[in-house]
Amino acid sequence: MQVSKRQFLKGVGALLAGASFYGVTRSPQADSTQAAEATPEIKYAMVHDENACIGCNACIDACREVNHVPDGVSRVKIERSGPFGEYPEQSYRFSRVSCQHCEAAPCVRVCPTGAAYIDKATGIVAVNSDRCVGCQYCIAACPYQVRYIHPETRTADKCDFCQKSRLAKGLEPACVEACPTKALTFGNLKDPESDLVKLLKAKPSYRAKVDLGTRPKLFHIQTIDGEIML
Amino acid sequence: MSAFHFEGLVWHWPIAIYLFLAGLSAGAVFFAIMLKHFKLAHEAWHSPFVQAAAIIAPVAVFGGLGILVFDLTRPLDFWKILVFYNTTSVMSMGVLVLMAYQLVLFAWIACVFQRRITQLLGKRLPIVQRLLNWLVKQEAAITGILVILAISLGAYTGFLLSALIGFPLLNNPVLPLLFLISGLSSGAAATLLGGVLLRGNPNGVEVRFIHGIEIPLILVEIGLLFTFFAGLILSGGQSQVAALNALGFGFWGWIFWAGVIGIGLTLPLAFNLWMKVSADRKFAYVAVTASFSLIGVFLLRNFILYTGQMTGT
Amino acid sequence: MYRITPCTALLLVSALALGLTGLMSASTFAADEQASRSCIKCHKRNGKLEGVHASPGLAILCQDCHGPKGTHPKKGSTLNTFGPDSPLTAEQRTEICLTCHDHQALGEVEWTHNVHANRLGCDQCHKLHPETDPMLSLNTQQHSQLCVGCHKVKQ
Repeated sequence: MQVSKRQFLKGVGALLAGASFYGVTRSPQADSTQAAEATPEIKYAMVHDENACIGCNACIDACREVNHVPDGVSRVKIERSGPFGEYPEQSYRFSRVSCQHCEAAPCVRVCPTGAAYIDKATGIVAVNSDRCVGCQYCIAACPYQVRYIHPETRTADKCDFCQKSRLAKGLEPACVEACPTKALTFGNLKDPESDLVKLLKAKPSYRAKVDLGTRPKLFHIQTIDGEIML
Repeated sequence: MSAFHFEGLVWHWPIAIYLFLAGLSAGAVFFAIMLKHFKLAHEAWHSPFVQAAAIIAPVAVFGGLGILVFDLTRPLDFWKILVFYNTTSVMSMGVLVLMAYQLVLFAWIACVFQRRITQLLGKRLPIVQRLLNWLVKQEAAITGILVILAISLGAYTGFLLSALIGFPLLNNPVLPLLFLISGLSSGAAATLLGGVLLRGNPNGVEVRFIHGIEIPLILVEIGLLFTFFAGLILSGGQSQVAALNALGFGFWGWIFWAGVIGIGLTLPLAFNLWMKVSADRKFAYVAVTASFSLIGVFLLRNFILYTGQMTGT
Repeated sequence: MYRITPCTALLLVSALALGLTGLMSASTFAADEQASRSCIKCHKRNGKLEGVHASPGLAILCQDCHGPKGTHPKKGSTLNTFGPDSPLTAEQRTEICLTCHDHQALGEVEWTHNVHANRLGCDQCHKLHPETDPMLSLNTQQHSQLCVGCHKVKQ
C-alpha cells in the first residue's frame, strides 16, 4: 500500500508538470506585437442616444456594405418596441443590439483556442478567424446574443467597431457615419476631451445586463418619450 | 415556439449526445474500477461486465468526440483546440481532461487485461510486453488518476453548460453535480446492459454490487433535480421563468415528467427495489432497467440543453 | 421580379373585399359614374388611374377622393387636390385615404405609418394613379434612405 501511494503521488506530479507545460503554448492574445502596457491610452466605446434614433436601419446597411456582412446575419440590429401612446400621436423606442465590447467578455473567457480576444491597445473585443474552429461556445456564452457564424468563412464574427475596415484609416465606424440623426457617438473613454466622454457626463446613460459582471462599453441614453415601463 | 427550433438556440442535439456519451464513458470506467477494486480484484479481466465497460468507455468517448468534431463549423480545424489552450475556458480545460482521460483509460485497460494480452501476444513484440509489465507496476497510480479524471470528465459535461452566464437555467451550480451523478448512473446502466449482452450472469456478484450503488445514486439524483429547480424558482426573475417554462406543459415538460422522472428514475428505482427483495435477477429485468436508465439520462441531457437555451437573462 | 409582400397581399385582399361590396350596389353608382367619366374628357393624361385602386371591382370614382365637381374648373373650386401644391393640410389629405383604409392595419404592415400619422399626408410618399406605387417596390436600403432623406441633421 505504501508503494502504491508513492506511485500515485508520482502520477499526480507528472500531471502537474504536464499542466504547467501547456502554459508555453497558451497565448489567447492573437497579435501580441506590442507589449501589454500597464495603462493603454485608448479604450473605445460607443453611445447610442435612443431619443435621437429614428429606427431607419441606415447603420445596418452601412455596416453590411463596409464590412461585407452577408445577408441573413448582421453585426448590428436595432430593436424596436411599441407603439406607445394613442393614434395619431404614437411613438416607438429603439435600442441598438451589437457587440458591447465587454471589459470582462464572456466570449473571450470561454473561447477554447483564444480566437476571441480583447485587443489590449484599443479595448476592442475581436476575433482571430485563423484560430476559430467554429465550436460556437462564444455564441452561446454571449448574453447579448450578438455573435454569429459568418456563412462564408464559417468562423465566429461580430462588430469590431470597424477596426479592420475603417479605424485603421482614421475613420469612424460605418454606422456612426451613416446615422442621419447623430444618434451614435464613438470615441475614446480615456480621453476626457472626447465627444463620447462629454456626452456621457452630460446625460444619464445605462448599459445592458451589467448585473452579469460583463462591464460592457456600449452605452445607451434612454428614451424619455412614451410610457413608463415596469 | 417550437421545441427544437427557437430564437437564441445555439447548441443542438449533437451536443446533448456528446454530453451523454462523455458522462456515460466516465460512469462505465468508474463502475469498472469499483468492481475490480471491491469485488473482483485479479479476476476482473474475465468478468463480462468489466469487459463491457472496457469496450463501452473508449467507444463512447471516441463517439462523443467524433460528434463534437463534426458539429464544429470547421471540423478540419479541430486540431487547433488541441494546440491552443485557454485556462479560463471550460471547453479548453475539458479537452485537456479528455486527452489525459483517454491516455490513462487505455493504460488502465492494458493493466486489467494484461494476462489476456500476454496470452495473445505469445513471444511476439517483447517491447509491448515490457511496457505492459511496467504499466502493471503502476496500476495503483493509474487507477487513482483515472478515478479523478473520470469524475472530472463527468462534472465537466455540466461545467461546460454552467459557464454560459446568459442562461439562468444552465448557469447553475447544481448542474455539474447533477450531470456527474446522472453520468455515473448511465455508466452503471451501460455496464450492466453490456455485461448481460456479453452473457454475464444477471444474478451475479457484479450486478448485485452495481445495483447496490445504483439505488442511492438514483435517490441522490432525484434530490439534485429537486434542488436544481427549487433553487431556480426561489431565485425569482428570469431563473423562475426558465424553470417554470421548462417544467410546465408542452413538449419538454412531457419529456421531463414522463421521460426523465418516470422512465429514467422512478421505474429503475422501483425495479431495483423489487429485484433486491425478489430471489433472483433475470436477464430481462436487468436489461430493461438499464435501458430505462439510459433513456432517462439521454432525455435529461436534451431537456437541459434545449430548455436551458430557451430563456435568457 | 415581383414578390407578394405582406403589404401587397393586404392590398389585394382589401381590394377584393371592397370590390365585392362595390358589385352588389353597382347600380346606385350609375349617376356618379357618369360624372366620373366627364372628368376624363378633360383629364385624359393626368386623370388616368392605373394602379390597384383602378381595379374594376373597387369601382373607385374620381369624386370618391377628389370630391364633388362643384364649380370646377371655374374659380372657387372646392376639389381636393394632392401633391406638393395641395391647399389641404396633411391631416385633411390623410383623412380622405382613411375613409377606406384602417390606420391600425396600416401600422401593423409598416410601423412608420404610425409615427407620421399627423405629420405627413399619404400622398407625400404614396402615388396611386401610376401602375405601381413607388413605396411597394422599396428594398431595405431604399427604405432606410427614404428616412435619411428627411431626417438627416446638419453636421
